[in-house]
Parts: sequence; structure tokens; C-alpha cells
Amino acid sequence: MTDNKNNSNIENKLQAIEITKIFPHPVKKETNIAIFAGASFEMSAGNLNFIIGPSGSGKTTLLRMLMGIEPLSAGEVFLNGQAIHTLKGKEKIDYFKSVGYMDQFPARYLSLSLSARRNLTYSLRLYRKTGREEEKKQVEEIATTLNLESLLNQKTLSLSGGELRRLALACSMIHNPSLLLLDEPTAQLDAENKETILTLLKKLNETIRSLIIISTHDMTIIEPATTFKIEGRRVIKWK
Amino acid sequence: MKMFIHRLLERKRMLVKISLICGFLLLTSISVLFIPQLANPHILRKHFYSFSQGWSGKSFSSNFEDSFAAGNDFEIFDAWSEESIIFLNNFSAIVEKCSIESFGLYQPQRVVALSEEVVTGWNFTESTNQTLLIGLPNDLFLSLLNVSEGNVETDALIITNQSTISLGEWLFSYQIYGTNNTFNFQLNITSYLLEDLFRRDFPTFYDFLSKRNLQEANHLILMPLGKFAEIFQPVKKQFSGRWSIYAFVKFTVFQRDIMYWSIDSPGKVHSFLKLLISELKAIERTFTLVQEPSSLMESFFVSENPLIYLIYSFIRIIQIFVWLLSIFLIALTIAKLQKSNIYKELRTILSGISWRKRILWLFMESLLISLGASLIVILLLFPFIRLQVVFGGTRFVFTNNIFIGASICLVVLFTLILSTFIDFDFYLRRVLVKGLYSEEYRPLGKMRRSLKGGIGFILLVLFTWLLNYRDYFATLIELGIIIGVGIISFLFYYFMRFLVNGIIQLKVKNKLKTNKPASKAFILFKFRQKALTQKMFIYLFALTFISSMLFYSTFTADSYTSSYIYIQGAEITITTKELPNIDSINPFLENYSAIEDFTSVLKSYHMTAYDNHTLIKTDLENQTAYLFGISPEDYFNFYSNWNKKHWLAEGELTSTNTSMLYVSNRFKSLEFLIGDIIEFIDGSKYQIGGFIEDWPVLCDKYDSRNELIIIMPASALQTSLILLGENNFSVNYYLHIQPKKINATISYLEPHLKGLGESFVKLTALDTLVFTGIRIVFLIPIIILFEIGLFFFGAFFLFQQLEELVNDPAAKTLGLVAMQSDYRLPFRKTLLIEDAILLASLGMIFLINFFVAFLILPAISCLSLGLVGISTSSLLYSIILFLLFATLLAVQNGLEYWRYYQIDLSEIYRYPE
Repeated sequence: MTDNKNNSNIENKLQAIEITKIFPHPVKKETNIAIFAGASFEMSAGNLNFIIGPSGSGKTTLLRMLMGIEPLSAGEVFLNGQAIHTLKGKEKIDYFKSVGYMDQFPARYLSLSLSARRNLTYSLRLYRKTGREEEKKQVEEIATTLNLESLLNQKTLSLSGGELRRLALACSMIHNPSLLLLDEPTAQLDAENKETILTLLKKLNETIRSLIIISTHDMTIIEPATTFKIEGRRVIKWK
Repeated sequence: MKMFIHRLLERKRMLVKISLICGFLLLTSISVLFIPQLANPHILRKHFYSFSQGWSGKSFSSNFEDSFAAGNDFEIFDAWSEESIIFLNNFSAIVEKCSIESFGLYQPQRVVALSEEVVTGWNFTESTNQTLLIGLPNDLFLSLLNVSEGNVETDALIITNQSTISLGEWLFSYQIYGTNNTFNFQLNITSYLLEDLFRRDFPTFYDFLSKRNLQEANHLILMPLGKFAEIFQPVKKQFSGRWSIYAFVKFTVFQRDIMYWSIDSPGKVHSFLKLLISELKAIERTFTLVQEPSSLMESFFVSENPLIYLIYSFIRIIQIFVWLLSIFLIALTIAKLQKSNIYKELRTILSGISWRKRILWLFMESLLISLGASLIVILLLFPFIRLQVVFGGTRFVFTNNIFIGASICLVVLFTLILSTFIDFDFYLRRVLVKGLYSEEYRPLGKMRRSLKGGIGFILLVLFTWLLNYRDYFATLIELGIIIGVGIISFLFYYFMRFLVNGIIQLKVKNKLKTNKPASKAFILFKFRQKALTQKMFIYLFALTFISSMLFYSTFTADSYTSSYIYIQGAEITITTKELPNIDSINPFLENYSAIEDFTSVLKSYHMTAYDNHTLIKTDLENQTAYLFGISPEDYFNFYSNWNKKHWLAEGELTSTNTSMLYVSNRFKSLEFLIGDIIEFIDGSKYQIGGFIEDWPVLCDKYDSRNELIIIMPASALQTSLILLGENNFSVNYYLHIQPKKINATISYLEPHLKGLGESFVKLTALDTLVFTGIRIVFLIPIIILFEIGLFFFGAFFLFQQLEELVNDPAAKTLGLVAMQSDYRLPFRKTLLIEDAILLASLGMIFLINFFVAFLILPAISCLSLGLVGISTSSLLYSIILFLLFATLLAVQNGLEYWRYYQIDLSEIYRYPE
């Protein structure tokens, strides 16, 4: 979090130009399915950016493309002016380090048999080498931000759905990424937990300068001004 | 390191499971290394050889020389050297060193190395031109001196059978080989050793010397090698003479079994000899072996036997099959683990961790799994070995080959784990470039199937070829069998699949027709379709295959025992040459409780011509007839259990009619009829009661169609023989005793029979070890196969349980359905019915085996198995197998039920993937 304040003068901005994604048909190999065809959009930090669309419309695929692990069939993607679709080798790894990703199924990325603290520590260690004291400080700081202090020593398996989402969120942003991609962060949560997550996200958006992109099909959490909709293989501003 | 510990903590359960699976597979892989030792084709051949020799058991005779000449179990090294023989003092140590290096065997029973020369010797009272002068290693000479008579301060020791031998100064003359020159020397011999004492106290050495024509030498003089060399050194040097060297090595029976009868003995014997010669040459460069030891060389000839080829192939195939399956299962196990961790692994790579660090992690994980697996092997190997001892009474030998093989297995395990990990890493990196859904993970996924198959096949060929010591023919046989068995297995698997799928299809059609909802059992069956096919395949194919083999091997061993007794007649036979012995031996045998019953058979043969010197009066002239005198009552009681109806081609056997005799079919072809009279020299007349078809067991093996044979009451034959003053006969006693009591009975009989003097010919006992050997040779591979099958089963079961329930969609769905309250009872019933069906199928296979073995095969004369021959232990084996199978099924299904029972539905709800 300390580093984040130092980077506060950088305005994180993402530009996607004419992106296209084509998958081969799972059965008829000779035919293709186009998910996106010439989609362009622009997102910037300071607001929570939402991507909406029905199930199977390509929300998760879009996040993966922005993350750099799903190659584009055509088009370009820039983050702060840097072309991310052409990155290779060490540059690509450096880019990965600047991205935080929270999966729609948190159990995929978390170690359920370990404590919440260990999961956070591991996530931090994956990206950064720090001293033991500094490490502890950062873990506790993010736990405070996301109301996880009392859960730190609990086994991850015993956490509720909302708590698990918060922990996954904490793990995905503990390394202070420039781009934070959240895939269905409120899925399968009750209204109260949804509200908690949304409040936290808004709070985070004010404290950190990361570009936050959230994919969801839950219309109750979106902010219309910064919401993009996937429609007709394109990404368009909702309102 | 911190990261690695975190990773370990996260993956600990998986790693433990993988270590267990790899441990089981490693254990099976190492266990098959022992198969050549236990199911050794050479030993099998040895047992069959003993078996085909008829009486293979203990035999002793009143003639000492005969039994003395019988032993031929020394290795004789006939050699020469030019410079020195003192190195022979080290021969014993060198032999031991070489046998350790080549065979892993310590200390042969006896090693003697000596040098000899024939000289002419004389002293004041005696002279001889054939004195064998032998130079011995010092330690052996001193031990001989200890039991000798006379003064120990002596140059040499003379072996004699007279205590009156003249001691003191002896002069010797030695003719130098190839010249007319002689060389004289003197020895002060003040000590002698009586031959009987020598034979008694040093029997092995005495036997060794007897091989060197001991009897031909008039005197035998033994002296230390140092002194011997000192005497002959100047002469040898002057005339470029060679030293004659003889070395005798006697290995123990156990050592001989390993050396001569092991699967790789030809190669090892070769390396043993090569090593021995090079070691000896290192000490004495002119050492030259004139003739290679014959027993050692036998293993070369044995290995060329086609039967051995086939048995070798069988063993190799078991080994290759187990190793291939282990490799396949290990690769699949690691792949399964990796697949369930794909997102976490991706995250680690995305964090930008260096590849060096990642490789180090994978290396350490592979090492940990390998160490864990090794620990499991160490813990399980001992019980495995104990099991062999309990079942087969055999022992394992950890030879160099086993250690090398085990190390190779471990290295292969480690390499396999590491390479599977690395292969997955390559997959992850491909996924990062091409997208997560671009490909499904499979080991070596980028390689084309045909290429993978091709490489696998080349490796298989290479592997088989190397295992067979680059023998093309054996490799070809084995590959043929592997491909054949592979095709049969596939056909069987697809047949099972077709059957299960067919049943489901029919059921579905039926349901659709009747328009009724599917039953609970059917729904469960549908969910378990794939698992059920696998289970049916494993159980029905593998386990019942093994059980059938067990069945046949057990009962075949029994059958051999019984048919052997059937042919040979009894367990102990005594042959004697004097009629009065009958009266002497009978009460002696009757008084010993271990002898259940016995019968004596008087055997003689005579020309059938009518004159005063023949026994039988017939119209047949100058033909030899074999006569067997036997008490009818004894005879019929002796084997009352045997079915006697096949014995006669015509006529009737009665035990009480003493005026009857029975003749071979040859008489019938000579136009004799039932009721015809045969007259004997004493005027007694006997009526032909029947023609013999199958020759009675006690009367040797003759062809009833071509020989003239008469079986008649013993008393009648005896009277005629006495009257004729005939001594061309023998009396055989057939003793019926429990096989376990054979040794005790021999000990009881031996002194008494020896007391009979010259008239006693020999005593032969059935060596039950022959049957034990056959049983072991048949059974051990089967038991090992069964045990290996069990380990495989354990590994496969764990493999199926490897993934967490929440990660396995098929198991999850079944679990969710099965654990609903109204499905629990049907699920339990389904498992129970499954058990019952599989158990019934095993029972059915036993039943089919039983009918084939005891009804069909004997009917078509393939195998003569008699129910009467089945031993209690065989029945016990079968029952144990059946119970083991039932337990296995119960445990497997119990664990499966427990696994579903433990499903935490809330967990599945929370983490739906």
C-alpha cells in the first residue's frame, strides 16, 4: 500500500483497439466461433469499470485477454501506452507482475488447507521479496483494509463465501498491481455480503490508483457511467 | 525456501498420496527383480530333470565305492604357471573375492589349491616309483599335521594305511619332463597320517584328491607349498619347466543353485572366470588355465534349451509388463495431480518466478516423492520377503544385480516424476501463449500419438533386447508374446465395455418402451458405468487369471506327486538278493510304526522252454518271461484307494484265489486264453485269471503288449526258485509311509539293512523335495504375481482416490446422488450385488477350472489329474485365495462407500468447480 501512494501520480489507462477473438468450434474443427470482432474501448483508473453481459458472452475471456494470457486473434491492447499484445519473455513477465486477478471461483487460486494469513503471505512472496517485519506489516495492512483482521489465523476452508471473496481480493491486490481484474466478485453472495464487497471496492478505488475492471452479470452493483456491455461481439459503453 | 515450504504445506496431502502410489509401484518394480531367483527356469529344469530320473531321492548301497564315485560337485581348475606357485596360498582369498564380486556370495564351502609332482622315493625299508608329492597351502598342512602321528617337526606328511610305515630320511628322484635328466632330493619325514583318519577328518579334501587318481599312486606325501617350491624351483628354472597347479573349489548347494542355475548364470560364470584369471595373473603373470571347470560351463549348455527360452520369456514378460504399467501409472498419477492444480501453478508462473527456482522446486518435490516412495518400499519389502518365506519356504538373495536393478528403478522413478513435472511446465507455458483452452493436458501432449507409440515401441524393443543380453531370438519370442497378450487384453476390455454398454442400452430401450421412470439402481448403475467397466476388467481379467494359474499349479503339483507314487508304487524301496532276508526283514518292518503297510515283490526272469533248467513249462521256446511273485492279498490292499478296473483287459482280479495268475497281453496275442494252464517246474499248475492291460505299479514298467510277464502268488514262485536252486532274482519291498516320515524311516532302516551284508543291494527313498521343488517352481511365480497384483490394485485404488472429491465431477455427481437419504440403501445394495456377482464369477471360474482339470483334460489325455491326489494344503490355498478375493472386494467397496459418505455438500456448493 505504501508503494501505491508513491505511484499515485501515474494515471493508469487501458485502450483496446479493434480486438478480435476467434475460437475453433469444439466439435466442428473446421469452423470458428468469433467472440469479439473489432471491439474497441477505453478505461481509466479513478472509477470502478464494469463489464456486463449474459453468461457465455465472453466476459472472462475479455479479462484474460487484458491480462495477457489469452492471445488476440487481431487488434491491439495498450496499458499506459505500452502494447501488451506484443509482449514476450521478460517484458511479458514484468507485465504479469503488474496485474492482479481474482477468479470467479476463489478456491482455484487459494490453498484451502492453509490459514488466511499464509495465503496472503504466499501471494505477497510470489511477487515481492521483503523482510519478515515488512511482510507482516503489509499483510496486516491489507487485512485491515478488507476487514479480514479477525480471520487471519483461520483456516481458509472454514471461511464463508463472502469472507473467501474478500480474501481472494486481498490476495490478488497485495502486490499493488496497476491493473486489477475481478471476475464476478459478488457471484453466489447474499445481498449483505455483496454490499460489503462493493463498499470495499469503492473504498479501495479511492485509496489505490489501480485500474480496476470488474466483470459481472449482477446489475445491482454496477455504476452505469463506467459500465461496458458486451453485445454483438463488441464492447460498448452501456450508457 | 519459504516459498517452497508454503508450497509443500499446500500440497502435502497430494504428495503423500503420490508417494504412496509411487511406493507401491516401486515395490512391485523391485519385487519383479527377484522373480528370476524364485521362479528360476534353471531350477525348474533341475527339478524336472531329477523328476524324470525316476528315483531321485536318497540312495545308498552296500558297496562303498559306488556311492563314493557318485559325487561330482567340485569345480576343478587345472592350470600351470612358469615362475612360482607360492601365490596359491592366496587362492582361497581370491576365489572368495571373485565370487563376491560376480555372484555376491561369501566363502565357498572349501577351497584347496595345490601343486603336485610324481617322483620315485625310497628309504631304508621301502621304495616306490609312483609317489605323489603334493605342495599345500600352509594352513591346510598345519591342520593335517594336527591329527597326524609322529613328530610335528617334519618336512612332509605321508598318507598311509599302515601304522608301521618307515619314517625318517627319504630320498626322492624326479625325472625332469621332456628330458632324461633326473634330479634327486631328500626329505625328513617324521610324521604320518592314516588314510582312514584322513578320510574321516578331511572328507572333502580326500574326495578332492581322489579326483587326481589318488589310487594310482603308491604313496601320497603332502608338504607345505613353501618347501615344495624351494625344492623344485632350481630345476624348473634351469629346464624352463612348468608348475602343475590344481585347485578345487566346493561351493555349498545354495551357492551352486545361484551360480549354475540363475537366469543370468552364463554371463556371470564368464565374468567370474575372467575375473579369477585376471586376479591370479596379477600375482603370477604366467598363470594359465588349461581347462575350464566343467560344472560351471554346464550353465552355458543349459541356457540353450528351448524350454528355458520360453520360461525366460515368461519371466521377462512379467518384468516388462510390471515396469511398463508402473511407468504408465506414475505418469498418469502426476498428470492427474497437476491437472487439479492448474490454476495455482499458472498463478505461480504469472508471478514471474525464475525458471531456475521453479526447476529447483520441482527437483526437490520429485526428490521428496522418491524418498517417500523408497521409505514405503523399505517398510513393505520386509513383509513381502517374509510372505515368500511363509508361502514358499524360499529366501531372497540380495545380489549385486538386485541392488543395481533397484537403484535403476529408483532413478527411473525420480526421472519420471521430474520429467512429468517439467512436461507440465511446458504445457503451462504453451497455455500462456496460446490461451487456457487451447489444449487439454496430456503427458507429452505436443507429441503425435503415432510418434509416442513409435518411441514407446522402440524403447520396448531395446529394453527387451538388453534384458535378454542382446539375444535376438529371445527378444523376438518375448515381443511376440507381449503383442499377443496386449491384443487379447484390449479385446477383453472392449468386450467388457460392449457388454456393460449393451446392458445399459437395452435397459434404456426397455424403459422408453414401458414409459416408466428409471429405477434408483439403474440411475446409480448409469453413473458408475465407466468405473464399473474398469473394475470388472481388473478383477475378472487380472485376478481370476492369476487364480486359475494358482489352481492349476497347485493341483498339477499334487497330480505329479500322486502319479509318481502311482507309477513307482511306494515311497521307500529296499532291494535285496537273498530269499531268507524275507523272513529277517518282515518283522523288522512290521515293528516300526511309521510304516503304514508294505508289500514284498519277488522278481525273476526265465527262459520259457521245457527242460530241467527253466521254471515255466510252456510251448514257447527261448523267450524271456518276467515273473513277479506277490501276495495277492497284500497287493490288493496296498493301493486300495486306486481304481483298479483299468488294469485288466480281460478277466477278473480276486485277492483270495491263490491258484490264479495274471499274464500280459502278449500271451493273448500268442493265443493263450483265460483258464489256460501254465505249469511250473515243481509240477504246480496255475490258471490264467486275466490279461493285464495297465501294468501294476509294483511290477516295474514293462510293455504289456510286447513282453511276456506273469504275476503270480509269491509263495509259489519262491517254492519253484528254491527247488531250482536259482539265484537270478531280487526281492523288492515297497513301503507305504507318510512323506514327512521318510527321513526318520531311512535312519531307522539304514543300520539294519547294512547289517544284511552283501545280499543287501540298495535302498531308495522318494525325495519329497522333488515335489516340493515342483510346487515351489510353479507356485512362487503365481504367489508373486498375486502379490504384485495386490500392490497394483492398491496403487490403482489410490490413484482413483487421488483427486479431491470436490475436483472430480464424475465422483461428485455419483456421491451427491448416492448420499441422498433415499439413495443410500439402493447404493449399498448395488455395491453388495456387485461384490456377489464378482465373487460368483470367481467361483464360476473355479468351477470351470475344476471340470476342465478333472473331467475334460483327463478324458482327452492331456493331463492326468486325480481327485485323490489333491492335498489338504492345495485346498487350503484355494480357500485362502477365495477369502482374500472376497476381503479385497469388501474393503474396496467399503472404502468407496466411506469416500462418498464423507462428502461435505456445503463444500461442493461453495466451490462448484
